[in-house]
Amino acid sequence: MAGIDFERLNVLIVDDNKHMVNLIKTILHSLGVRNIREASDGADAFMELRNFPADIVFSDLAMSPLDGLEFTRLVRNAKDSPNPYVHIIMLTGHTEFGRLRAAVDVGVTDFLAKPVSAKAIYQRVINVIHNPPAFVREKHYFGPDRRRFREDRLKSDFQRARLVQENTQEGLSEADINELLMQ
Amino acid sequence: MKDDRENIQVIPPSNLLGAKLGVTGTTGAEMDMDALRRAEEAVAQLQESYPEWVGPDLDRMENLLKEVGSLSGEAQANHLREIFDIAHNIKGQGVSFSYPLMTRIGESLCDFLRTKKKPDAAALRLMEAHAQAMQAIIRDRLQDEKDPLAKKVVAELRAIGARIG
Repeated sequence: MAGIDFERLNVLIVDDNKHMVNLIKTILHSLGVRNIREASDGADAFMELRNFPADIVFSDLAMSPLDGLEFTRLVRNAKDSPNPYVHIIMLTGHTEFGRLRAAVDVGVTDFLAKPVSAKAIYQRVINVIHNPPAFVREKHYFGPDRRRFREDRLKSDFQRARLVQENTQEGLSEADINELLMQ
Repeated sequence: MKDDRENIQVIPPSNLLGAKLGVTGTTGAEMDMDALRRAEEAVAQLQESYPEWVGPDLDRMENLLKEVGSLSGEAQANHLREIFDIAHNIKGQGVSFSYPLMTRIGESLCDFLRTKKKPDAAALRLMEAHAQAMQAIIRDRLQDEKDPLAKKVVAELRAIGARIG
């Protein structure tokens, strides 16, 4: 199956953990992405967006001083935002389920639950290219259409991430885990 | 375009990114398995060097732990915050780098630090035990989460944390 040529794709990685940045960068490089910038927190990332026309942002949720939620809020709503429509994919730990609704409400495009894998990153990139979301502007919200993130989908994604993390060491494949979730 | 609800504007999906990359129709809608294999191989190589990367973080944590007991007030709070940040990062990266035990112990230390704002001698000892367990995992390249001794150590750290936290 012929893949997409990612040579012209611009990606910004926002994370204060240099090892995670390195991991994501290595995966993107291997997939053919050449234009990658890094930022260590939301404020740094917002400044970076002024000079770098990112198509996709992979942002961690927990960062300081400006975390992933505040960063997304700024990108979507600030008058001086360089690109309110940029795709923002939020990286979250499996224990951060409680903050997912907040992330949806500030306008993330999608989530990526840790542990990070090459397959999961590849899938997210393909998804924003082939299924970009509609945007909604209302009195207290601007961002991707939130109806895509129904509560049951959020729950099942994170239940799945947790099960993968807990059970891959027990010899269960992802297919086994998907089957368990169907029950 | 207006949605059926008043004052809600729906902006239809844009295919600008697809157009920029020359994607037409369903081109590339499925993964290129060769590209995926290359990426997975690159990740595997990276995972091999994780012990070298995380070593300085663990050394930093040990040094902070040596000092934190003799500090007070804001200085101690800053040390504890930095210890928490290192543990939190390790928690986030352990599984991604094929060291799930690092994630478990990082998580245990984070949970304990959330409850223990002013550590006493027992709390400091437990924090040190977490750091020593992480050092041992990296030193012995212990990647198997099912290792019976490692499982027991993780469970003990958690149990003590719950008891004295």
